[in-house]
Amino acid sequence: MSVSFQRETWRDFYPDAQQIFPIHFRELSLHQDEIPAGCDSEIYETLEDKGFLLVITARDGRKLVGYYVGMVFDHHPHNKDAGRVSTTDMFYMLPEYRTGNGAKLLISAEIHLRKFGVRKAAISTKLKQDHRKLFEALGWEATDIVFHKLL
Amino acid sequence: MQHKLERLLFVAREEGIAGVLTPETKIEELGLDSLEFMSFLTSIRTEMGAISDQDAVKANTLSELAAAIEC
Repeated sequence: MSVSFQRETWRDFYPDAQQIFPIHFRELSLHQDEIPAGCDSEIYETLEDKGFLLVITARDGRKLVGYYVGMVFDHHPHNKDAGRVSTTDMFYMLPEYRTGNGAKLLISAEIHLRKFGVRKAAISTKLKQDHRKLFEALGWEATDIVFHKLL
Repeated sequence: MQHKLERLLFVAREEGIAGVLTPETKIEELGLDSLEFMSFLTSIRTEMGAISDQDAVKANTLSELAAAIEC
């Protein structure tokens, strides 16, 4: 197995991603009974057409084994002159490929975010599957704890 | 190149990576999780020299990894 990392369009990524999304959902999503999975691909296509989307894939040959999906915006509304910012929408690697490839995927994402001109990037981690040590090893700084509440 | 490879294998041993290591050993076969991979990369940078993130990601084997190190 030899995994490569590359940028792809959402439209190329999505057909293959549909095979992995259910695995990703079962492993990591919260409140699964109340908030069912259901990807709205059209929204991602719209974001991509506007230049707001970054998709990095990890593939073993042609097989999709992981992905990073980030959203990039020209600036945060609080900081209109501070440059481009990004948030991480998805970061996932199939369990059988977690042999250093998760770190490689995130490094690849960072390389592409820099190419996008992003000055400040954000990513989060689940408390139930804490990647804090990895993110810190890659130079990310823990800054917030996010709270959710079903209403 | 041979020296770099030998040095890399030494660093790998220091990282506690076991097994028979050859130039063709795939990085994925080292059995490292993501954090251990980052630790290995950090040790390479400390003990041997610079390696760009891009080259580190592209390297599939120990030989390719060694070739990408600037030392």
